[in-house]
Order: sequence, then structure tokens, then C-alpha cells
Amino acid sequence: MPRLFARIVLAAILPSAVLAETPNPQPPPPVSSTGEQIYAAARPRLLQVRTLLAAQDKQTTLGSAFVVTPDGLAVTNYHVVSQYALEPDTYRLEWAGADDRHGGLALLAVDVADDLAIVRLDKPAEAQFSFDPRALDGTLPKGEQIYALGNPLDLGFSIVEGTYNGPVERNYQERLHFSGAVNPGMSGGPAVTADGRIVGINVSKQLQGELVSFLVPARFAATLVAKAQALAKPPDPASFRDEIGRQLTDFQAGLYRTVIGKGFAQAKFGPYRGPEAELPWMNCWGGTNAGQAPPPRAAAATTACSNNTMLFVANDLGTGSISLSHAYLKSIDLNDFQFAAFVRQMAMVRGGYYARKWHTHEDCREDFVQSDPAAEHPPLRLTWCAKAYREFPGLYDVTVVTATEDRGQEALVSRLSMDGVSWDNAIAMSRQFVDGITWNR
Amino acid sequence: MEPVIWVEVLTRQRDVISRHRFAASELRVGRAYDNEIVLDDPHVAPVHLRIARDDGGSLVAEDLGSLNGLYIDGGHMRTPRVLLDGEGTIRIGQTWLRVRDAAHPVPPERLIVQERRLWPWALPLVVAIFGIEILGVWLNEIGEPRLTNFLQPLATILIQLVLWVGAWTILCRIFAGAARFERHLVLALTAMLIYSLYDEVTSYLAFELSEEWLVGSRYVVYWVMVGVTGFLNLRIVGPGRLRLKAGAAAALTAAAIAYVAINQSSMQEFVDQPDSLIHRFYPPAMRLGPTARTDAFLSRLDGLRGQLDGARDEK
Repeated sequence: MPRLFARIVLAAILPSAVLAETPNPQPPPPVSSTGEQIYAAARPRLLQVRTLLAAQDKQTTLGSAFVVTPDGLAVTNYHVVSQYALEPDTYRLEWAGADDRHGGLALLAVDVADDLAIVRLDKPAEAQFSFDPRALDGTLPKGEQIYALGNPLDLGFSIVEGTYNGPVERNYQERLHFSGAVNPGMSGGPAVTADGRIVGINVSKQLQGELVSFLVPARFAATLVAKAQALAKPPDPASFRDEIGRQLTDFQAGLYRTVIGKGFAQAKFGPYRGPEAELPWMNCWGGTNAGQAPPPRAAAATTACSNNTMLFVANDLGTGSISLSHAYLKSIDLNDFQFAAFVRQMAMVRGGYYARKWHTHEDCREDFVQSDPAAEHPPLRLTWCAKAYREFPGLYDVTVVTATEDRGQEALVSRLSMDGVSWDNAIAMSRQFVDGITWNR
Repeated sequence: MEPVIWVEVLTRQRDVISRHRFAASELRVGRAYDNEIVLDDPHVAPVHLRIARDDGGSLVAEDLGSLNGLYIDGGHMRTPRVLLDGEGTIRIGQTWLRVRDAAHPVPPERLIVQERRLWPWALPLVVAIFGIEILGVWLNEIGEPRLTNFLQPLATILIQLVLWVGAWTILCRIFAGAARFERHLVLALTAMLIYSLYDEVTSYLAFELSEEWLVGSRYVVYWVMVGVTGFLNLRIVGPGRLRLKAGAAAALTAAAIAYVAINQSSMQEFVDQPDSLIHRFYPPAMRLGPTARTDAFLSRLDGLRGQLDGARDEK
């Protein structure tokens, strides 16, 4: 075994040994691949970002970053620095370069919606990246080879070759699809073209898929860099919490302007019609209880739509999702009382253990309502539940559940959940949702 | 007529242990064997007490110079001489005595009233309670009906009933000398039926009127009913000292309610069970209340917003 091992090592170092013995040394041959060139060029501009507990000097999060200006501004992901942004008294930030250089980091700006942050190194940078103009104006062709850089799983700085696949379709937030392996620790690292210009920032990967990874488009980073450069002095670290709250409020304002503006389509469920999202980034799935064993005594046909958006705020707090679902229930051999119990089971607002860290407790109001008794609106049992975000005033998680109350043997149970929504938007959405439930008498 | 003196030795609860008749005009009480009444109480002097008639012919008791003295009924003041009226008791050492003469009045004879048989009441009560329970389970059965789903609540009721009635019957047998099983049983069944009906009615009204507190406040009514039933059980055991019994029952009830309330509020810290949820739906045909307009409902939610915003700062 040791012999075999030695042979492999020998084989690997052989070319240089041969070169060394050549009597007339020629100029070194051109480096063999684009990747090698890119990595060599990128090395001094790449950083590892560590979040450490201020009191114990132990690391809690690792990510990557890259330098973009000579005075030491670097781009990373918001989720890499989120602990520090939310609790600057408990954590501190540190950078480490590929060449053993390291130092402290100051946080200058965050963009929660696009998962970006700008930090400043405590020493000037030796070199910096520039943004790819084709990426900034969105003309980079699909299929181009691009390279993601970073420090995956703290194994050392690495380069990953992959394919640029353009913006992700059916997504509310703009993200680029990168067919290559992005692993934990690479977050905040750059994805660059063959000539070393920034296309996007590594942010996430799809767990169910193979090599399906996502990048934040470069132009969001360019905008945030410009904003950070315009700052007269670094903001007070304690001010980021309020800033994050403002950004979440702005994010939901834009999201719900789109949703409320677009309105709902109507889908048919037996004698009822219910609101269904028409937006391309709402994904809908259907389901049934027909195959259950023992056979169900009432049929339930369900559809559920959601926006697949999970805005990262903290390790234990995601927000920004909207989901709506309908269950059309029809009794098979239940009597009216039993069917009412079945409806109740489907219309329950499920509690759970609640994280007091981010939310207040959930409280509900309920009543029988009817949007317009004269028109085609059935009487509904409406349950409206909300909890407030402790840290971000004016934002709530809201759940609306309705059950039609007109027939003894069939019902439509509809549910709308909104995370991180303003009160006014929640009320407007609720009204639109409830008004969208109609019947044929 | 020869003057007769009756001396009764009593328990601490004033029940008669032994009764002694003396034809003499004077007698002595103590531990020594030359007394007319010999007591085995170590806190009594060999010759402790003299019982005699004074000049007016009334019975008096005199302390004959004992260590522990002579006391009147529940008093704390040692007294050398007591006028005996036949009603009050005296204490020497740890022995209670009552002295009466032959003329002491007694209440008239009481007619024997045949205690009513209560069995005929018990049966319909049991049928009603079990019937409501079975109906409730059946109307909420949305899966395959299983025998255990029905038997389990019935077994629960039965166990509660056996424990409650059994405990009271035993207590009654010990303290009142008679078990009075039927009365305890019918009382417990009646209380159960009332609560069971109350439970059904509040469940229905809470849903139809959207008044969650009707269900949320049930535990108060439950413990009040337990308290009242316990008091009535105590009254069956013995009709005396009703104020004390009522006070004890009320205090225990209040303690139970307070405990449950504190427990509920501390559970709320961990479990996010939204606290205004109704636990049962009824068919549309049973609708009772009016239907609100959606807009009116949504505009009423401002109160909820205020509450949640207020809760943001709670730690």
C-alpha cells in the first residue's frame, strides 16, 4: 500500500521533475485550463467571512465574500452576516484571505430581499473583482461556462465549473440558475465568467435536485455597492435591526402590490368557486384523500398554491411566503353532524410550539360572515388568526380560514396564509380572498 | 324524689363515651380508686373534682387543688368553681365531662321516617348521562366507528363515579355510621348530568354565537359544580356545621380554579394553541345567530391588532 501511494504521488509531481532536469529551461508552459487561470487571479480577492461569538471567539457561521473596490469593500450574502446584523453585541465579523491575511470587518449595508451585504475590510485590498457588463444588462447567453468560487464546507478556497442558465422562471425574486455545485460555505462567493468578471453571487442550491444552484444577479450587488460607497461613515451596527424591518416592510409592500393588483382567478370546486392565484410564480399542486385506508367517509379534493419564497431573516426565521389552498369536501356516508366535525378538522388553525423570540402568541377572531347575501356569496365560517413580529413593527403572520356554511353534506374549506405582511395588506388580501368564494345556489 | 346526678364522659367531639348515675348528693372525680368516678387520664389528679349541689340546689363543680385545673367548655381560663347548667361541658386534664340532673329536659320523640328509596332515580340518570356521551361520540365520529371510541368515555365516567361515590360512602359510614350510598350516588349522577348538558349547550352556543369564552370559562363552572356537590355530600354525611363545610368547599373550589387558571396561562407560553378557537362545528341547518358582513368583520379586527402590538413588548 505505501508503495502504491508513493507511485501516485510520484506520477503527480513528475512533469515538474522532468522540467527541472531539462538543461535549457523554457518559459513556463501556459496554464492548462481556464479554471486554473481564474482561480489564480481570484485568489487574492477572495475572502472567507466568519461570524464569531464576541465573548468566546468561537465561530458560528462561515461564508465567502469577494473584494470589489480598492478601498476594501467586499460583497457577501446577507445570510452570512445576519447574526451580526441582528445582534451586534453578541457577534463579531472576521475575514480571512487565501494568503493567511485576516482581520475585522465592518458591516456597511444589507439587502435582505436579495440576500446581499456589503462589508469593509480593515485593510486596503490588493486586487478587486469587476462586474460583467453583460450580466448587469442581462445579455449573458444561456449555456456559457461560468465558475463559482468560495470556501465550501471550510475545506479551503475552491473553484467550481458550471453552466449559466439564465434567470429562474416562475420565481418572484430574481435569481440566476447555475448548473454547478454550490455548497455550504460558498455562500457570498462570486460566480465569474471565463475572463473573471462577476455574473452573480452564490446563494443557495436546490436540495432535491442535482447541481441546481442559484445566484443573486450581479446588478443587485452593484446597486448595493454604490449605496455603500455613498455612505459618509459606517452605520451604527445597532441600526441594522430597524433597517431589516424597513426592508421587510418594503418587500411585502411590493409583493402584495403585485398580488392584490393582479387579483385572483376563480377555480371551480363542485358547486363552489374559490380564488386561485394567477401569478406565474405561484406553484399549485392538487391532492385527494381517495386512496386512504381505511376508506375515508368523506371525500376531500385539495389544491394548494404557494409562492416558494422564503426570505431568510435569521437562522430560525424565514418570511415572505404566501400560500392559499382549497379543500372541497363531500360526504360519502357521514351524517350532517359528523360532516360538520369533518369540516372542522379541515378548517382547524393548527397551533404548535411557538418561538417567542420572533413572534407574539397567535390570537384569532371568528364569526359567521357573508360578503353580500343578495349575490352569489355563501355564508362562511371565518377564522382570522394573526401573530405580530416582535422585532419588526407593523409586520404580522396571518392565517385566514373559511368554511362554507350552506349545505349539510358538502363544503369548501379555504385557507390563506401570509408571512411577514402589513396589517393593511393582510386585510385587503383577506377581503379579496373571502369575496372570491362564491356558489351556485 | 331522690336527687339524681348523671355524669357523662365525652369525647373531644362531645359524643358520650359513658354515662354514670349517682343517687348521692355529692361525688368526686379523679384517678384514685376512692372516687365515685375513676378516670384513666394521666393529666387528671388522683382526687381532681368535686361535684355537689350549692345552697340553691344547683349543681356545681369544684377543683380540689389539681395541677392541671378545671376549665369551662372550650375556654382557656382556669377556674376553681363552675356552675353546671347541664348544657355546657367542663374539662379536667384531657377528659370532657357533662353533668345533668334528672330534671334535664329532653326533646320529644321523633317519628321514624322511612328513608326514601332512590334507586328508581339512579337508573334514568345513568341512561341520560351515558346516552349524551354516546350520542356525542357518534355525532363526532368521522372515521370508522370503533367500539373503543364509545367505551373509553363511558369507562372514564364510570371510574369517576365509583371513586367519588365510593369515597363519600366510606366517609359517611365512618363519620355518620350509615353509608347512605343511594343519596351519594343520585347526587353525583345529578351533578354529572347537569354538567354534561351544560357542556353540550355551551359548545353549541359558542359556535353559533362565536362566543369562545363560553367554552373557555367551562373549567370555572366545572370546579364550582365539584365544590357544590362536595358540599352537598358533606351535608348528607352530617347536617351540622354547615357554614364551616360551605366555607371549606368554597375555599377548595377557589384554589382549584386558581390552579387551573395559572396552569393554563403558563402553558400558553409554550404552546401556540390560538386561544380563541371553538372546538366543535354544527351543521348549517342548526344556525342560530345572524351572519355578519365580511367588511364589518374585517373592520372589527383593529382591536386584535392593538392587542398583538401590545404583546410585542411582553417578554
